[in-house]
Formats: sequence, structure tokens, C-alpha cells
Amino acid sequence: MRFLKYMGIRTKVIASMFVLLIFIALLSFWASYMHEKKSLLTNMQVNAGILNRALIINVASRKNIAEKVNLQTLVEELSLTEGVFGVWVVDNHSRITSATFREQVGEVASSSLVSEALQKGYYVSGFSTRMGEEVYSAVYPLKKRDQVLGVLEVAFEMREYLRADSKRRAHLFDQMKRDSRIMAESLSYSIKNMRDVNELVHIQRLVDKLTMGSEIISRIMIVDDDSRIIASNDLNRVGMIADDRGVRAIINGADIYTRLFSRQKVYMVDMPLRISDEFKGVVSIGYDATDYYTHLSEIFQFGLLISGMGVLLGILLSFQVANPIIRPIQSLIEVTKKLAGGDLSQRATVSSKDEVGTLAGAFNQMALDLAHSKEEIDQYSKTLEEKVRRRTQELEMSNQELRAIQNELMEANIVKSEFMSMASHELRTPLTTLLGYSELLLTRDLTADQKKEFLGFINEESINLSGIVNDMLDVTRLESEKDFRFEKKPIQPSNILIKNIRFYSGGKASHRIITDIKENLPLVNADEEKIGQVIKNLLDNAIKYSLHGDITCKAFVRDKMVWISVQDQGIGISKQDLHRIFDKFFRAERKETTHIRGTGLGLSIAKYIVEAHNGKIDAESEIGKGTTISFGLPILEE
Amino acid sequence: MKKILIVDDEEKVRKLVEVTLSVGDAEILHASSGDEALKIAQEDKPDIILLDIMMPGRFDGFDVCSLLKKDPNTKHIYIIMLTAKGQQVDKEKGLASGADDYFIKPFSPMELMDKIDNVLA
Repeated sequence: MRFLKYMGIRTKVIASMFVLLIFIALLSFWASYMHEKKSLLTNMQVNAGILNRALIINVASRKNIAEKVNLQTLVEELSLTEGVFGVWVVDNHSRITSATFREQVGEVASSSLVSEALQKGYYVSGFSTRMGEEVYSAVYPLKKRDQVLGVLEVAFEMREYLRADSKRRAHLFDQMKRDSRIMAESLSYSIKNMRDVNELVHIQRLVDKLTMGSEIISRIMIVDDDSRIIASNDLNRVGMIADDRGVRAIINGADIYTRLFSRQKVYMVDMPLRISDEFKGVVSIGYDATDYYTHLSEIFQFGLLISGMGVLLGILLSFQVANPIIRPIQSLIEVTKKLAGGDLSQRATVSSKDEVGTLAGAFNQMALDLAHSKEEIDQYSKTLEEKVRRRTQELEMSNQELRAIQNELMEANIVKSEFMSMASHELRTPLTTLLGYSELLLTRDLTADQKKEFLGFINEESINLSGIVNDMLDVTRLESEKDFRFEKKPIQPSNILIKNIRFYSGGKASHRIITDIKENLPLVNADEEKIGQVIKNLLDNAIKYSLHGDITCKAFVRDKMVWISVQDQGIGISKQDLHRIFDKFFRAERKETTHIRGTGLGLSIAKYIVEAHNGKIDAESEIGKGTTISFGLPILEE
Repeated sequence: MKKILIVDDEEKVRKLVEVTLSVGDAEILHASSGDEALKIAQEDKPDIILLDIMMPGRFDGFDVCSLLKKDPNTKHIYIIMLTAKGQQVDKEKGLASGADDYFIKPFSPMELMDKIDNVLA
């Protein structure tokens, strides 16, 4: 039953129902068949019983069936007569009914004399051979109302006749002729008066009639109490010993014995023949059982049809019964597959309250739980993601902050080292002059001119030094923006520019200063001294960082501001450094500028001041071509 | 007569050194740039060079020092760095370029004189 494992539950249910239905159908068919068979048989038996009884009554009404025995006795007695070889009684069917030699009863008489007598209906005699003996036979017809019922044959011994000479033979022949005729006639007379012969013939006729005239009776046999067949539809059997089971059973005392010969389709019923309670013989009737078999086969066919229909109906029914069981399971399977595929919204249909329904309910609960769990997990992972994202952001921000701080620190460090470098150089240079010359003045004998010159040097460098110190203090103050007070008033920045240019142009000016100052420029609200410092720083730088060339100063209005620009034709500054020029201590550190003295604070201070006036400061430059620094101050609104 | 070359773009500093050393019997030579210093060093073979670092022109003091020290003709010249670059890194850089001594501005003329005397002795 291994294959059962591989069957679907649907197939299993259908198959089991199918098998069950077939079993039931076969069982019912068999039961009904057996029932029908039995009833048919009973019916037939009843019919046969009735018929037998009727026949028995008929036969018994002929009363003296037993008298036939007397005929045999008579024949045997006659046989004892001197010179008689044998006596035979033959019926009109040439069958020996009684004979001297009892074993010959029932045989067909073979003598041509018998046939002649039966055929012609008159006395016949002649020589013949009987059982190897030469005999002289005289055959005399037994007639009743001109109907030949049979013949009587008497055979005389011929030993004496054959031994005698011809004279004697003629005499003996005549005597034989005469004796035989007399004997036959007398015997026939006495037989004719015996009723049995009649009766015998009648029974046979009855039998013939019954067999011929009836469709249902296929054979009839009447047997005497010696098992000898008295009458039969099969004439060949009359006089023979019936030695079948039924006859024996009845002779042994049974009331009825029935047999069914399926091959011949004959139903045999054997019953005793009783005349006034005296057992006389057996009546055996064979009924034609064709109808029975036809019926049976019809019943069988019908049963088969019914069973087939039953099976067909069963299949349909089993599908009908199986489907409500299978369908929910199948749909459950479908839903399970979809669920497993990730569609958590899938639900099974609960269509019944049976086990499958319970299963579907449990499944739905499970799916619901699953969906809940997934939701929770999703929610959790979302929150987690959000948390991680936020933390990352925070970390990035603090990282950025740290980087910014780091950058600031690095810048501060750079500023510090730049300051150190600047201070080291810018302070030491004037101090060298101060210290060196003052020592010379103190320790050497110098001429008056020398003294004056050296003191001039000292004074010059003292001014420089003081400027540096001021710049540094300015930057520090501007950074803190506390100590730095602006004394703003409406001023004309171009005037300050002109004043400064005049200062630089005087004396041994190294550069030519070109001006382009627009007339009637609007006023700005500014600290005159600080703006002056800005312009001075710009001019200082322009001169410091250009060995030669012109310096162009402009004053104009743009974007609601008054702009002052200072352009030189100096060394210029690279793009990457341009943004740094306003940083503290930044100096264009290149070979050609290393000797240029300066704190690197000038532009830084300028930027502070301009921005403190809500102004803007810009730088444009190109290496080798020069630099333009310009600043704008908002126009004073009246 | 010993020759001392003073290299500095600041005239005031050159003059200070010259006046300081005028009491001795050394000949004082002047150069205001690296190029000029190299040229004079080759031509006049000074015994001592007082060398500033930050100067205009192609060569600064470090360059001049290392060039002179590489040249067999001039490598014997005693070079004293005389500079306002007073940080330790600058000093190390100067000595690495071959300078024999390192004087930081501002300096005492007296000390410089003692130094020169020691070198020339």
C-alpha cells in the first residue's frame, strides 16, 4: 500500500468511497440475485410439484399398473411349455415389454417377423434365429378395436424337426404351425383381456401427449418399483433400468428429489408414485429451465446495469461528498502557499464547523498573529532604522563639529605659528636697529653727524615698531569688539582717499598714483580715522607688493554703496591664496616677498573695520599682473 | 688683511655691522641680495660672511649658504647666519644648509665683534 502515500487526500477519499460503493453494489446485487434465483427455483419446484401430483393422480387413476407384472409372469409360465423356446410381448414401438428372458425387457425387437406383423397387423410366422438357435416363430398381433397395440411372438424349438427326415419334417412343420397359431391366438386373447397392456400403452401415450403438448415439460419418466422404466418420452429408454440418483432417492423413501441440470437447462423433479398409499414407482419429470436461465441472466444483466449505475452514481456522489471536504483543504493549501509567499493579508474561508473549519479558523488566527508580528517587526525595524539614522546624523554632526573645531584649532595653530614667525621677524628687525645703534651710541666715540644719523635710524624704527604694536592691539580689540569704539559721522570717503594719496605722493615717491574719483559722491556714515586707516593699509600694501608700476585709486557708487578701490601692478596673488589675504598674519609668502616687512595684519584690520560699517571688502588678483582691493560702505540715507 | 662680507637687504643693518667692525683691521664688503653675495664671495673670497636670510631676489640666505658650502672654492668661508628668524626650526635649517654659526637679531655689536675676533684668531 505504498502508493497510498503518494495519493492526494481527495483521491484517497474518492477511492475509498468508490471501493465501498462497489462493495455495497456487488453485495446487494449478489443478495438480490440469490433471492431471485431462490424464488424462481421455488416457483418452479411448486409448479413441478403440482404437475407431478396431477400426473401421479392421472397415472394412479389407471389403477392397475401393477398388473403388468402379471404379464411378465404369464410370459414366463408360457415359456415352460414343451417345445417352446421363448415368448415375447412387443409393443407397437417394437419394444419388448415382457420376455422369457427377462433381461431382454426394454430392448427393441429385431426380428423382421415382428416388424412385419406390427406393420401389417396380421399373423406372421416363419423360421428365424433366436439367440443362436434355429427356431420357428409365430407372431400374432395384439389388437384392440382394430388398433395394433403390439405383437406376441412365440418361438418353438426346432431340434426335433431338424433331426427328422423330410417326411417327418413336413409333419412336424404342420404341427408347429398349428400349435404356434393356437398358442399365439390363445395367448393374445388372454393378453388382450389383460388390462395392463392397455394401461401400459395409455401411460406411454399420456407421457407422449404431455411431452409433445407442453412447452415446459421436456422429459417425463415413469419408473416402477423395480427401477424399470415403464414410460418415457424417450421411447428408447422404456423398459430400461433407471439408475439415476433421483429415482434411487425416491425408492429409498424420499418424498421429493429435485435437481437442476444447467447444461441441459432442465429441472428434474422426482416424486413417488403411490396408489392408495402403496408405493408403486417413481414419477420423474424434467421441466424446461430455459426460462429460468433466461430470467436469471436477465436478472443478472439488470443487476449488472443497476450496479453499474450505482457505481456511476457512487462516483458522482463521492465527488459530491469529497468536494466539500477537499475544497476547503485545497483553498487552505492555496492560501498557505500565498501566505508563505509573503502575502500576509491572505485568509482562509471558514465555511463549515467541522475539523477543516476549525483548521481554517486556527490558520486565520495564525496568519493574523503572523501579520501582527511582521507589523511589529517592521515597525521596530523602522524605528530602529530611524534611530540609527538619527544617531548617525548626530554622530556626523558632532563629527562635523569636531572637524570644524579641529580645523579652527589647526587654523589657530597656523595663526599662532604665523604670529610667532611674524613677531620673531617683524619685531626683531626694528629692535636690531634700536639695540645695535643705541649700543654704538653708548659705547663708541662718534661724530656728531653719526650720532644724528643713528638717532634718526632709532627714531624711524621706533615709529615702525609702534605701528606694529598698534596693529596688533587693533586686531586684538577688533576681535573682541568691546574696546573698539567707532565715532561715526557723515563723511565723504573720497576725501580721505585724496588726503592719503597726497601723503604718499609727496617726497621720493616710488610709484605713480593715478586717481579716478567720481564727483558728487554720496556721503557715508563712518569713522573718519578708521576709514583712513583702511585706505592707508591698502595703499601700503599696494606699494609694498609692487616694485614698480602705477597704482590706480578709484572712488565710485555701486549697489547702494560708495566704493574705494586700490589697484597695483605688483606680484599678484594666486587664486588659492586669495581668500586668505584677509586672514590675520597672512602674507603672500613667496621668495620675492620674504624680505617685505609687514605684520600681515593690514588687510585683516581693514576687513574688520569695513564690516563693522556694514560694508563689503573684495579682492581681485592675478599673479604677475597685480591686485585690486576694493571696499564699499553703505550710502548714508537721509 | 681679513675680509668680512656683510649680506643684508637693510642698509641700516649693514651700516650697523660695518660701524661695529670698523674698530678692527678687517676689510668690510657689502651685498644687499643673494646674487650679489655669491658674486662677491667668488671674486673676493672673504674670510667671514655675515648672512641675512630674508632677502629679495632669486636666492635667500639658506640658498646662498648651501651653494657656497658646496663650492670647493668657497666652502672654507666661515658663514655666520645673522637673522631675525629666531625660531629653533630656522636655526636648525640654517645649520643644515652648512652655516658655521647662527646669530639672532637683535644682536649686541659687542658680542658680534667678540665672535668675529674669535673666528679670525
